[in-house]
Amino acid sequence: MKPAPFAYVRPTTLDEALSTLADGGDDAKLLAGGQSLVPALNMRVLRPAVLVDVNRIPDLDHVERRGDALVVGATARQADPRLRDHPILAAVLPHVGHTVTRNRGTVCGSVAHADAAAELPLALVAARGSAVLASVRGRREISADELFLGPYTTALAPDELLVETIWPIPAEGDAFAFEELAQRGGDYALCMAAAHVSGGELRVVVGSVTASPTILTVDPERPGDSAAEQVEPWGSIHASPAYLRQLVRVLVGRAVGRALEDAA
Amino acid sequence: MEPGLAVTAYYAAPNLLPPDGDDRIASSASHGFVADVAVVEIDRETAAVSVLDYVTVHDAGRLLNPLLAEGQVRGGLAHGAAAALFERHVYDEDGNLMTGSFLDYLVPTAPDLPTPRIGHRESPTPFLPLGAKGLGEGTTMSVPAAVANAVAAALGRDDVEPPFTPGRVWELLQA
Repeated sequence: MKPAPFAYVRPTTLDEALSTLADGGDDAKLLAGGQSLVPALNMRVLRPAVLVDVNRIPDLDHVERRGDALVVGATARQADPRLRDHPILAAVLPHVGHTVTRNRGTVCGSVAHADAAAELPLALVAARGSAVLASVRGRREISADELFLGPYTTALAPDELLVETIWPIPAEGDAFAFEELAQRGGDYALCMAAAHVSGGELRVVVGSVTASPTILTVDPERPGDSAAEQVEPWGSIHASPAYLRQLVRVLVGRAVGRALEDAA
Repeated sequence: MEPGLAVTAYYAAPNLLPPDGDDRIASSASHGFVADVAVVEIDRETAAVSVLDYVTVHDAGRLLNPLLAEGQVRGGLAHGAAAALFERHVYDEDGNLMTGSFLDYLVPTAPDLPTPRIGHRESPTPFLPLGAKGLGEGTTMSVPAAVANAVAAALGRDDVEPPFTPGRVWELLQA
């Protein structure tokens, strides 16, 4: 299990990283925590010509309050204690991999990787968050709702680096609940569901059973059933489509129940 | 140089005999015993199986090193629980292995395993000088059986087959 040969670049400024990325185009890949990328390289699922390591760029690992949001920089690790100030991240992060992978893996890296079964992309959508993308052409902010296009597919252009994720901080009376079923602790979920009551408005997001985090409009009288009617899970060796639909029914039902109960 | 003092001795367990006329043989001079109790909870909505309590009691004869004995019990339990709850090989219709990576072949990690309560009862075997019977990996055999019996009791049916992953248990709940 060794990766195919690649060139390794370790810029020390963001501008240098962005110009390397612009030159490399589709053949360049960004390395942050490497917890998803490196296994994919080793299994030769990915064969980038250039690996751009962003870990030595200073001031990219910020986690700071900006207005009513927590802003998480590109190289901030999932284990960063400052993330626990955000209730949605605090609820979701214990389900993200293991202590060892969280020490290295980054929040923004997981978002940019956009694994359909990863918790952080779902959490960013549930939080009504957004991402800041930088390239030599400039910066733009994109809503999480428009960021995830499919499995491992985002709205990032090949020359763009996801420099920040922006997590609006829930207000008094808001509530968030997250439910997932994974076969082992820290595993990718078979199914996951988040319910977020914000300003009296309920947002339900499901993941793992859809190509990317999917917002569902549910009937508050029968949230689980109405959610299950809207998904078409494809199934795997671990779980049949019918079982996955049952998990949507149960997990959405539980998450919505908890969130509505906790919301003032 | 003159050789030092040398002694050569032989011991044969008296109950280990050559094969009889029908080519049958008892290949162990003594047998350890193990008795397990598993307490299992099944979430009928998600089909998730949790082992709430696990007790395993061994009669390994005289314990020569209790620390190593406990290590064998815990190590065997890990393998047994893996077989009971997680690990299996899956092939598709064309014979392709579908569980060829540790993403799909579910090896449990420490927090996924039940925490056993371990007991020992020492009744030395009369057939061997040390009185030890051995207990290596006994729980590898007992855990799948105990967990399967608990699942069978919980579901009220006895045609259950490990591993009891949630996807497989859900199929059992539908039948």
